Amino acid sequence: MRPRVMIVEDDAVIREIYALKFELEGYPVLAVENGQEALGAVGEFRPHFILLDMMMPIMGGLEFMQQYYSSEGELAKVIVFSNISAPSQMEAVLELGASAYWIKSDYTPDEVVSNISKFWDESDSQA
Amino acid sequence: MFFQKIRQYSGRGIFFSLAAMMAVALTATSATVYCVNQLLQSRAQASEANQTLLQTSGLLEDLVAAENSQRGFLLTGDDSYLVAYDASRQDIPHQLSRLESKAAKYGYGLKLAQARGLIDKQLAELAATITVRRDQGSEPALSLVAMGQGLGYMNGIRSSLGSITSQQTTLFNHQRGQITRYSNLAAAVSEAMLVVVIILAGLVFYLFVRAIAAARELDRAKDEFVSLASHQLRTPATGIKSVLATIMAEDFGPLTERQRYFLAKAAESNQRELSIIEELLNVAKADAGRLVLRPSEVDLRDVIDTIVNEQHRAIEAKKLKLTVKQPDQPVRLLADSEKLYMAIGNLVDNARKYTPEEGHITVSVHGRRGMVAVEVSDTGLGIDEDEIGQVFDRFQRARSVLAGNVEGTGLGLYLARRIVELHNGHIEVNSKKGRGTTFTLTLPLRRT
Repeated sequence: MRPRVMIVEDDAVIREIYALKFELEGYPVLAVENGQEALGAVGEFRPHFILLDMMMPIMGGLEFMQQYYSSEGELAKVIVFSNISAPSQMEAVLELGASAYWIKSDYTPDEVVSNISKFWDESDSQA
Repeated sequence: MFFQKIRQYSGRGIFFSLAAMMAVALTATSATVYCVNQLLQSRAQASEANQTLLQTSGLLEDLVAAENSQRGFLLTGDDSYLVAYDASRQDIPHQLSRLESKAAKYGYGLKLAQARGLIDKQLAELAATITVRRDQGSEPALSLVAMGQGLGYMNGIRSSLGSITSQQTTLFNHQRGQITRYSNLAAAVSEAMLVVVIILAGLVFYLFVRAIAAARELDRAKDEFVSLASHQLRTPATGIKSVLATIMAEDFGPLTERQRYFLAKAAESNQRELSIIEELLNVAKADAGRLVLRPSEVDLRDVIDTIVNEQHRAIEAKKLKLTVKQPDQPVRLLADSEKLYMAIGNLVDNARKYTPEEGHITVSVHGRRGMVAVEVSDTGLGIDEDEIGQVFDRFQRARSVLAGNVEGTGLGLYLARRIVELHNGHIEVNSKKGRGTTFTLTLPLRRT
């Protein structure tokens, strides 16, 4: 079974190309534009992974994480996927509970898919 | 520099307050000095008046003593009574001359002259009676006293000296009043100065604290700006990178050789753009003093292996020979591996760019006394002697490089130097025009 992946990203090009890549690789995927839409959709979609941008209109990644982690039920692994490389922000989100912080410009869709797949395999073998 | 920064963040208020503090202190000090001068003057005058009073009363006492002594001698004929008379007669002229020396200053000359006239007459009468007593016995002497004007002279003397005494008493009391007044004034000035200085010091402290807060706020705003700029610049380039990578993975169908070739060129340009953005942001951070290291234990050989792996294809494509000399043992440093990768990678990248085809690049690592040196040498263009001093400056690019149209931002060596310095190391360059260049980067080894 492939894990369900939610992409939270305001930049349309990045959102669509990543959604397409995950789909092509056979992952159930849901792409939304901001934190608020993500909060509205997590209940039904029940993602295993959330690929989360930080700087977004309406609700950014940090606020999403704060609200998401205070909700009940099983939580997805949050992977922060941002182009902001400020050490203070990295520390803040990792402290909040993010599983990883990837600088967007360092990755290609291929690499992200394969990293998520590795993550999934590891958590599968642990379970 | 310090004052400029404070002025920049606090406005001029802090300087006005400091100037006001100085003005208040200066005024108060002048006022205090004036008060102290007045006090000293009044004290001197009061002391002089006091002396005059003592001298007038001393003069009267001498006259009374001379008279008493004369009476004793007249009644008994005993010479020992005249000891006091003689002493007084000697003392009286001194007392008079002391009083005379100040007469003009205090305007009692006339009164003193009157007193002196009467004193002379009184003394002459006393002397005459004593002579009569000696020559003719007590009877004639006593009758001379009874006929004489001694009582009148003494009353006259008392009256003249009394007016001098009264004048000097008034003067003494006036000066005492002045002393009290100026003492009170000096105390009031000091207290007022203290209050004003405390208020101004409080104001200066408040402005200073506000200036520090403003400076912090500005630093935070700078960080935020760099962060935002990094996000805004990277996002579109990242979008292009993601789309290119997906097309090149043939997710949208197979590619022709020609399509693949140009897509690879586009991806290369895209990657270069991302690198330049990264470089500019790091320079912005370094300039703001916000380039921070995230150190961990690093094996320097791993950093160099990564660089060689990434760049060897480009080096080979240019038909350059690459030699890497690394020790067999781990070279442990406490360092930020990403930043070191950036610094050393830049040196290797420069060597490749500035060495003509068929040239030779050598990367070697060797330890020396608690330090490790990384040497990156090439057989490239070399640097002009007059340009070598500026190679680590921002936006500095050699003329030969510009003429040869080699790409670059002129920021790589500047950043490399900043990164190496942050690691407590240093970087130097040796170059011969047309023969090649060697960059030597020295870093402290991790102590075990």
